Amino acid sequence: MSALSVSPAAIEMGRRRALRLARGYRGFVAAAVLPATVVITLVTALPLVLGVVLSFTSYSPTNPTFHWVGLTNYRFMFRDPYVPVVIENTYIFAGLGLLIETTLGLVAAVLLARPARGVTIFRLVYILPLAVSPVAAAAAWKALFDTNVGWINYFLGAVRLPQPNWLADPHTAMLSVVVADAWSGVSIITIIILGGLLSLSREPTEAARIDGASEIRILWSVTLPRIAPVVGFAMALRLFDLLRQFGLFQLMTGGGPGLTTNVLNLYVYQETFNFNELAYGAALGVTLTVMIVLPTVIAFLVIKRLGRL
Amino acid sequence: VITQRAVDTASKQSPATAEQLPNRRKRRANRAATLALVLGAIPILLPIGWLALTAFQPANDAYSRPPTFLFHPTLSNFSGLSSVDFVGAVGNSLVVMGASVGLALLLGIPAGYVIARHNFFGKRVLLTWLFFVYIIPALIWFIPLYATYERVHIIGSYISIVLVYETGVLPLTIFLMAGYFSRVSRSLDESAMIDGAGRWRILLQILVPTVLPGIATVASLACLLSWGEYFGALIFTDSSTQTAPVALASLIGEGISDWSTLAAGGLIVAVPAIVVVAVAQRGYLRGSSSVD
Repeated sequence: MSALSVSPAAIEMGRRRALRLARGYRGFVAAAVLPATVVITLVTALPLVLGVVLSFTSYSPTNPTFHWVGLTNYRFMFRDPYVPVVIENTYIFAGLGLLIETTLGLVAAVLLARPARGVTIFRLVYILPLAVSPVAAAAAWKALFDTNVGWINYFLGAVRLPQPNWLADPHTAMLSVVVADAWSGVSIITIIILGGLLSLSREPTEAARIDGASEIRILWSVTLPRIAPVVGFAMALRLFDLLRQFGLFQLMTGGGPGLTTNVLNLYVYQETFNFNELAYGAALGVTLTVMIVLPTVIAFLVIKRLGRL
Repeated sequence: VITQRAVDTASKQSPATAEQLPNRRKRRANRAATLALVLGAIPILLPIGWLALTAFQPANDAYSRPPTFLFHPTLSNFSGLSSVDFVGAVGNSLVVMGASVGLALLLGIPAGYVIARHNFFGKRVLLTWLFFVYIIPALIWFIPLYATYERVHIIGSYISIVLVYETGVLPLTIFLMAGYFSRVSRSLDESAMIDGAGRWRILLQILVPTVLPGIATVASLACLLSWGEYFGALIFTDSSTQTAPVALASLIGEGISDWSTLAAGGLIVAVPAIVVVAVAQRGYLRGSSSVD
């Protein structure tokens, strides 16, 4: 009788557990996860440790010995007059870029989420820039901003507006790179927010419409609060990319004129590979990492807190 | 009779006017939205348009002001690319892309599956670390990897750049694959297990086919990353292994005189990626909606 009181579901559960044990559960998990973990460790965790070690040595390709020099590289960095300028430029670029890209990306996503005729064509057009390699984008924008062959100055001249030497003028060089970066950055923010908008359930919007709320009011009070986490995610994602932009700066301005468009990633690259100062580059790299990881962790904590409210 | 009909239609319409007003407003809003989208598309298409136009224009048309759309298209701009061995560079890009994406899928699909389905020792640590790998600037691995590769004399080899690309492509693959697997019902695994299938068979013969669209999306994203990557390729490739973006970048110097060749090279780098995005577009929207 007691055997009959065991439910079929319980028998089923016991069977599954037995099967799981029998089929070498641990072996499978290890075989599936370990190779990826080993590769990730070899190319990230170990280099990170080695990089921190390097930053305390005088290692260079010409003198490849791990001679311990303590904080010398870091002390040199604090005395390097270029470093504060480069850090400031990095944050100005990232802040300006994030502001422009989020605003435009949000507007574009809201417009593209409307069920209208031909909207799929627009969706494709608006996400095209994320496909284009930063090198091809840098080439095209450099040409567009060029004083001789550039279309931008030609059209500005046609409507009798001033035609600055975009990439060589210290007042416009940073803005020009921000524009080139925003070109692809907006499309990344757009596609993430659009994905969020399209996956929303319709009920709350419909309910607000029946209550007589205007479209603008629905967007502001119903839709935006619901996609706020997605917007936050898109912004965080862009922030890391903005803080480590390299290609556009190296190819469009080379960090110039002067230091006006030199940012941390470019500066570290120049110090490390053009001047062969691997150890100093490692110290700068560690600093760059701290400067990117700290704001990111703070941003995520803030987003998490906001999400809970 | 006619007037009667007119009255009929009028009376039929009159109760609707309350709805017509918002309808008219809606139509006006739709027109404004379309206009805004058209205006926004201009700066988006401007660089792509410049690349496409200049690449096929004879040099004297490329510099004409105003820009001309009437010209005899030429392919001669592409021949200028031989000076930087662009064909070889595209070949290198394909090799590096195939190897890095292939390796990432080979390692990332099983890892993503296990992360989605099982709890194991160190899972949280692994996931947190993968997240940090994504946000930490790649330079922090590049400098020590460069020093290491130099010591073991693999600087400039395919192996060195493929391993470097795993720092970006592998975490992406694991994260996205874990997301796709977690959306497949567990009952699929369980019924297969009761039928006596082994764990690897369940993964390879039942789950992989189920998430194939997801794998295609991940692969296309990984290919885009690898195809267009510049920073790592600049550091870790040499003249024999340089990828297409590196070859293209070598054409961008201080005083550029040959914009036509540059545009031809830029177009070759941009077009395959644009085609991939156009084909995979729906997958990206579906994939990114899993974020919230």
